[in-house]
Amino acid sequence: MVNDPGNSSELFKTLDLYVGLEIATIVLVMALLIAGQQRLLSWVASRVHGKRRLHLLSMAPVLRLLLIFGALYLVVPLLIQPSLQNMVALMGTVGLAVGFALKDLASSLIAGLLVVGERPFRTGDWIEVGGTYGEVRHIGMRTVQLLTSDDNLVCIPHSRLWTESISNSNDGNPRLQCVAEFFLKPDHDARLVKQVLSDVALTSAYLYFGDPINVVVQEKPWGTLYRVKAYPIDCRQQVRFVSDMTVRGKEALAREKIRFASVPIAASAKEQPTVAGAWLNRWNRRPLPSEFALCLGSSPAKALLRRALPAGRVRCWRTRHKDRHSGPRAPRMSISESKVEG
Amino acid sequence: MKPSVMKPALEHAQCLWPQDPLSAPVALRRVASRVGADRAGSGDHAGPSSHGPSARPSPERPPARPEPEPELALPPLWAFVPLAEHAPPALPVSSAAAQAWVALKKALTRNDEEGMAPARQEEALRSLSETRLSHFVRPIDWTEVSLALERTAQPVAQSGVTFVVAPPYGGHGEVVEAWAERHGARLLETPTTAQVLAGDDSWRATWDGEGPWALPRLERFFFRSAHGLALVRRLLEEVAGGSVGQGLIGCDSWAWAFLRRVWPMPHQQVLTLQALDGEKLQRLLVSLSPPSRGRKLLFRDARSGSLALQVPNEGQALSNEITQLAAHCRGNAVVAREYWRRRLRTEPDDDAKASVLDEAEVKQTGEEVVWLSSAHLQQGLPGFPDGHDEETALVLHAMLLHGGLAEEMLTRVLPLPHHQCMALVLWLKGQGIVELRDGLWLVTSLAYNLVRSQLRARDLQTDPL
Repeated sequence: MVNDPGNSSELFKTLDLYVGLEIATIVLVMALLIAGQQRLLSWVASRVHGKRRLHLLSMAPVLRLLLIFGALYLVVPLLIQPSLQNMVALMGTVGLAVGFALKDLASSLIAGLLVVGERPFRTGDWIEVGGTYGEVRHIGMRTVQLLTSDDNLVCIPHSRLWTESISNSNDGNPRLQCVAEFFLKPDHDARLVKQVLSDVALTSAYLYFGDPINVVVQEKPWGTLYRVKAYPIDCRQQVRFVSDMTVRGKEALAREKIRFASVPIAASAKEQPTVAGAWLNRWNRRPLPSEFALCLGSSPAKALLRRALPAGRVRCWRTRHKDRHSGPRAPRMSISESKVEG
Repeated sequence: MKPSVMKPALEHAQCLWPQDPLSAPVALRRVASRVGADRAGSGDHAGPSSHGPSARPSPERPPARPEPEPELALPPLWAFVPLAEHAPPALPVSSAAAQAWVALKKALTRNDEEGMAPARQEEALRSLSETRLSHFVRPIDWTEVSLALERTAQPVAQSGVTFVVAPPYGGHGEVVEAWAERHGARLLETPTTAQVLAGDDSWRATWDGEGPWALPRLERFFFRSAHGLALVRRLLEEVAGGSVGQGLIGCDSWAWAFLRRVWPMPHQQVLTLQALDGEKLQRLLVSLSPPSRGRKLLFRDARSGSLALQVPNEGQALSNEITQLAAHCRGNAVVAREYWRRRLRTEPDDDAKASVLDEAEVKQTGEEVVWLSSAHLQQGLPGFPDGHDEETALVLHAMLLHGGLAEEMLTRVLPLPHHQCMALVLWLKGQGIVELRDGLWLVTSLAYNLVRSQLRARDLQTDPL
């Protein structure tokens, strides 16, 4: 046993130059193979599309794991006597060291193994972890790399996967649902708008025809919210698809003389505080809905609102979550009736 | 063929022959050769009456007149079938494997210049002049094709509307026009771009009237934009309503696939021209290059020297060249004809002496050899420009969906700025993938199949044919 100093020499083999060279060669070859297979798979995947691309990308972590296990299988017998007794002793020692000194690293490594095994996401999937939404670019041993639509590379340790929920938008499929939102004034023909927006999605060059198009209509305090849900041909086109639907949707609605919901305070607060104040006074005289959110980007607008409305009726916050399709949301301001009552 | 089906098939063939001159001479020659071969081989001189009860001579018939053999019942060259029954010819396994290997190599090497280069020995051959090309490969007679509409199992309805759907270069417009001319049907006016975008119904003036009508190109009635669908929806609604009388509508297969989403048409009668398999393509090519002055035309592969086609076809077996061509073109007659035309080569005859010698040789042997370059079949689509492959695919898809697009409409249906659209279009034109014809940018017939496979690989919606 390892407790007996006399047996320690039996646990580890004597290292000489040849063994050292052999181990170094194995490690080097495995490292080259791991790097090579990742580059090769990425290169081939960039030349195919759809499911084939995702299948190829998802093979990289599995192959890497197999290569690492292969390397361990070859290296360990060169270092120790591979008996059950020695293995238990070695693993106990390593476990103790890891438990105290490298807890977080070990947690990430084990979570990384589970990611490869359970496959809650694969390379090429679009996931959201802890408010970060992006495409899985690389699943490493310790971290997963996400590339956001703003071209930021975010590294998330696997250990966070123990506690965070993971939202996977496509789950290995080449397509995912995209949503384009239209905020319209309430005085319009909702059937016509629904048809126009459905046609906007239908005529988008990015549309995948195999999945349905849905237009969801919701009445809001400030007007009507239309959410056009459709699927692009490839999940990498989601931002372009939503932009295309938005641009052409605005064009089509303007042609039908449908008015968009707008908040004059946001634009005029900086330059014409009196107009904004008058508008707010009008709002003050009518019963406010339980929650009313304004998209405001300027501090003068917030200050004006605070002055114009009774104390406690204005609550400001900045959203933490990035919007999936259009990036960070603008700061929001809420005028809450429940706040008044409170 | 089983005896029970011999007679109907025979009668079918007999009644078709007068209407189908393309199949008749070939069939007669084949029968003559086969009858001779059978008699020589089996020693059976009893005639065709011994082949089964259906071929037994009746007392009313003069016994001296031999009945044709069952093999006479060659399927007609042109046949319209329901859309679901369209079956493009498949490649032989070896060819499919070879094509898959080429496709894999192309996928891994973006711009395979080596693969595009013609073979060295073929460079020495000379392209044929337009005059000789038009002599060797005449245009397809669409009137002949439209006659097949009368022979379909579900002929054009006496009351109601029938759709004729065909892939690009499949001749749906020409077939419908020929049908209209034969039946004295009114040809409906195609709306202008402005009328389509405005949903203007003034084009309907030609629709109101008595008698049958024909609409050759339905793809000209919509644009893939939010305001480009109203007109075609109203048209299809009226057609589905059944109040517009007898009519025939031609539609491109790509537009049809899109219109199925715009206006589902589950109960309409939809016909398409059956794809030509190798045997039918051989008959077509023979019929397109008639022999003159008793000469025999021999089309030989430039690399192997093997005989691909012989005109007149005296019982020649189907060559692998023709089978591959039919599969490569998915049985599209126009595309196959264009490939065939582009592949024709002749010996270089720079000096008059060579010409004189050639003439003498032709006179002596009675044969004229035309060589077939294999470069066009092996040549693949060049890779799309780096960083713009998605946009290029969208441009090509839009062109196919509309059966050709004018320059100003490219920007309206695509999420790309005008300058980028035109840069891609002009690049594609330089590569021979698109061409400008009658003010519309179209995918060329030679590039069509490769473009189709590229778009399919990218999961873009393709046509059902």
